Amino acid sequence: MPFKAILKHRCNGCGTCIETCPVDVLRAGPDGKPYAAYPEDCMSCFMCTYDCPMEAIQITLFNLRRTPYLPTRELNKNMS
Amino acid sequence: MALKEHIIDTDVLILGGGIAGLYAAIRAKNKPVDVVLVDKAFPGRSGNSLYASGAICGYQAGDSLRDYLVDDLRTCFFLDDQEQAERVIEGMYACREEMESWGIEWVRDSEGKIIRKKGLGMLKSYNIHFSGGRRLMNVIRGEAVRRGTRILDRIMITDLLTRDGEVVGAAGFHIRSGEFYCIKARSTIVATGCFDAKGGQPQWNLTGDGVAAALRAGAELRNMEHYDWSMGPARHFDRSSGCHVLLGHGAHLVNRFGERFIHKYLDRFGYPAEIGDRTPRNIFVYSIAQEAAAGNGPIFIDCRHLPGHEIESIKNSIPHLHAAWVKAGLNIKKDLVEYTVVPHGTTATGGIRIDNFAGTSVPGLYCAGDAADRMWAGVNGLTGAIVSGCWAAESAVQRVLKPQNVALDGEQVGAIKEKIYSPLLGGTLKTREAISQVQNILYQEIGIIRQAHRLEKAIANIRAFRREALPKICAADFHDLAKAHEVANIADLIETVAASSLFREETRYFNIREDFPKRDDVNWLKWVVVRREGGDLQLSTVDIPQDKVRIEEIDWV
Repeated sequence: MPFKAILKHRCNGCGTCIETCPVDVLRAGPDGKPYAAYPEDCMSCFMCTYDCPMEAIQITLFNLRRTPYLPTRELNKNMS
Repeated sequence: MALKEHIIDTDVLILGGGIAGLYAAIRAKNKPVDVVLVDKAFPGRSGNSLYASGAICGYQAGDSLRDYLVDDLRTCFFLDDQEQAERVIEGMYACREEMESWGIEWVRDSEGKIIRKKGLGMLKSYNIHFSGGRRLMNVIRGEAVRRGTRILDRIMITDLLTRDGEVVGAAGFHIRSGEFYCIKARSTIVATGCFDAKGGQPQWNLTGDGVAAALRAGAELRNMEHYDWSMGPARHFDRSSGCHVLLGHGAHLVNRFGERFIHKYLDRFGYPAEIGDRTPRNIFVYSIAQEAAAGNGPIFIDCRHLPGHEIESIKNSIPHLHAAWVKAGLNIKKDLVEYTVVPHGTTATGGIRIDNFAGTSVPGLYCAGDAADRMWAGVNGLTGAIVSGCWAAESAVQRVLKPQNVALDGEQVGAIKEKIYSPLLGGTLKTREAISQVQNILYQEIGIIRQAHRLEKAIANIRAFRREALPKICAADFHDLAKAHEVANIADLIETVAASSLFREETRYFNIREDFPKRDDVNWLKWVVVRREGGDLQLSTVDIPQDKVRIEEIDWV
């Protein structure tokens, strides 16, 4: 899944990513730093990485070919 | 459960903090009114506005307004409201200066001239570009906050509040604390964006919450059959497609043999060959599907023939996507970039029917942006969101300035509160499974190429889902509770898509029917309107007014 990691040694605990994630993946942990409470909801929008001042978040790009949302009737095996 | 309750009173309530909602807030705060804006996430980092390809309608003094209107009508196959489209085109020009004064920069060439490009479906009209939805939204949020808009984050509105046939506010809950919010307002603007089933291109929190709430409150929806598809980079997707910019700069679509293919399919839609690959989204989606069926997939975006200055302009217009490709070792001057079809690429769906002042069929309720029924296809969703945001603000404020008494229906508020929290009390259907079921109905059963029997099956399935599955939905926590309500909204809207699609017996725009493959300009120059009455959907048609451009004047093939 796209959400990879918060690099704690880089994170300064500013909380911006927790504040701005559109799908509420991130919450504050007991150390005050963010953790992925709902990693399965990450959709690779990259908002957190853009706003992170410390480059402390790792996300991968979304691979559309692997989603179950491509219409299988219309797109045959050649597309995936 | 003893959760805190927040009772809020305001003049103008704006649901949704994307560009439409925030622009409406900016406009509304020009007058001495209190404005509360509510969003499921963080306004300024929420919604589709952030992923715009960076194009906005470029109409300016000296251009022919009619050229822009004809391009728009051809691109959406005559489904647009002509007067609204004209007002959107002109309105955007009026907003450009103030946006620039706030700090938004249009992409310019080396001589400082704003670069204009013909976008999708455009033969004689132009887009201009800004580099990045994030900067756009930083600026717009900043302006809304600076003017004193009260912003409430992380609140999912589940229902509109009504009394005596008028909308008097909205209710919902905080998706982290779970606290109940009941907001009374003299005017309510739905600006909650487009709808998808949490799998397509739009942000997965765009689940048509405001449109579904309006449907349940008796509002008319229109053009719902045009649930749309688009394309995106197959392996390097960051939520933006870049297709408006790439195709606008002259990129081609090629199949695995390196052949261009869109021209083979233009006839089916009657679109002039002059458009090249820069077609309305329904045509390139259909073309990709046909190439895939013929065994010619996958397909690619090809920029290799573009001159250096066009490549530079592309880089400036879609910087993050381009950077991702560079990081992956792709050089668009030399390499093909694989693309694929993605559900709900954009904003071409219908939604809440609005008049020329963003008013809906329910007094007290206004609508702006993608939540409204607005084809504005040639003009693009971002442009429409900005201008309709202005209309909604003006109308909402006008209503506020008239003396009136707004009261809530206590019983209704109580019932909504109970409904909000009930999935926490038990149930057997997990939200993940529920979402998967509605995705299957929308993406597979309705899909791109539709047909009566499959649509009837989709309607039966979604009705069975709403009747039997939804009452059993359970939520593990407040975050999950939001999903439970999102699924209910998605299901409500899927039903309108399938029913409207079955009703429209022709192929037009995204209503691509195998069983009615031709566009029928004799019998179907109509809008399909749908509303809920007593639990059932009522469908009707309205003749499309041709006051400014008649169908015979469109340069179809």
